[in-house]
Amino acid sequence: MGSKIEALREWIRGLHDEPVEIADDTDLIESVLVTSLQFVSMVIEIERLHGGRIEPGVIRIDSMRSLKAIDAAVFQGA
Amino acid sequence: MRTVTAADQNTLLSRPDWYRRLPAGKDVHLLGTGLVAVTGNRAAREALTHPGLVADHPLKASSRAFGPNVLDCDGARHREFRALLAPILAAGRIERWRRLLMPGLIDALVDDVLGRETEDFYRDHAHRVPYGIVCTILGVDRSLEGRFHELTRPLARLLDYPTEETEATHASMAALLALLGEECRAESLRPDSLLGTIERTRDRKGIALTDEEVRSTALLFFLAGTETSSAFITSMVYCLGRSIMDMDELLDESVRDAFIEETLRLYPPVQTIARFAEADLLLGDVPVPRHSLVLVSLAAANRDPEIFPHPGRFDVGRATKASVPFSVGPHSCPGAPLAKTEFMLLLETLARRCAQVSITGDRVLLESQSFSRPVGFSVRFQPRSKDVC
Repeated sequence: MGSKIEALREWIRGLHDEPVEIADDTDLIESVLVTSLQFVSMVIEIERLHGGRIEPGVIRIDSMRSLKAIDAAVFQGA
Repeated sequence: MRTVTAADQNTLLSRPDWYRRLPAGKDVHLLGTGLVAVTGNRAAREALTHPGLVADHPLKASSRAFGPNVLDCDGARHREFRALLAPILAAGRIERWRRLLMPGLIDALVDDVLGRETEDFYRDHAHRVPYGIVCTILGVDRSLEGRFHELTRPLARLLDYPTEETEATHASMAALLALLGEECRAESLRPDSLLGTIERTRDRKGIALTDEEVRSTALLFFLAGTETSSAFITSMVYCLGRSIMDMDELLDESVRDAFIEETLRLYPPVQTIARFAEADLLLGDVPVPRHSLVLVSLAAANRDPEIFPHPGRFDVGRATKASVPFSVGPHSCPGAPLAKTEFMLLLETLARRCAQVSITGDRVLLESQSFSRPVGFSVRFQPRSKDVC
């Protein structure tokens, strides 16, 4: 995993007061690491780290469910 | 107010009256990266009708749970979902239910509360009329009403903010969809029931919806028709108990209408609506970046001091009818006429049969963003010596 995914991992950790473990394949939704409203902010953060627009078709539940999926769909898929 | 980070969003929305923490005199507030709040009445109307602000977001809890649905779609797809519900909410059908269905349910509720003090009206009584109505409309067996209530209330938290999405909410949803599936297969499915009407409308108009999507649509209709009405009936009883209005005044239909409008203004069941910016846009003169979450506070819009003098005052004599309790624009509540018919008849019955409704204890608390109502109050219904006909 590259530095962008590490930065995103840190950003998600920053949502929580207590330390949290976020593996590459942790389901961000089912684990409630990111709530549905926080997902909106996360998309903005992903776009900022990516350095360009994310195509609307990429913002799908399957491509945003884990760090691994985000890396494949956005950072490696660019 | 300091910048709201993504970490703070759930805290911000933990109170229905979050808008009170924002500075007065501004209609649109940039709260943080990608987070915008709308509190002014005109700005709320602009936001709710802005084509660049959409309901659809694939990561929303309701969208993930219900699949494509009337709440989370926009444009042509949204209009198709609305078309499915239109026949069931036609004026003729509402009038039939007003005459044949509602009176018995309402009288039974008033029979139960009359002469008594109740500690938790919402938990014990408020659901009975809306569940009775919507179960009948849905065409489900009335013996299942209690089961539907038991399963639906937890599911409502999926549509609330902060969203509560647990295994229990998903289990409730699966159980409700299974119940609806059984009703769909039942030979007794009435042609004028919601499920029967939706299926017929879908087939007649050639709307491409799967059976699962039909059941999800029916479930959302059920949730909206029961839980929002239960919340509002609670608010209406609370306002009756808090006001010094003579019950005789409410025998006048125009006063009842004004009373309900004023209760809806101060206690809209849906306090906050979330929208998403598809592109960079302007709300008023405030730039809203693409992907932003836009929180529209209907509660704040209904208390805009530019529109409503002394906005916190309960005043049935208000000349302005600019509140937006059922929202505006393409996503405005399609069930509003049905709900208002139900509220009017309940209020009329209470006026005929109660000498007084009194709040006997009040913690002055409000709960929930999407099914908002006062909590922590007790209320007594004092009967008239003789019902007024």
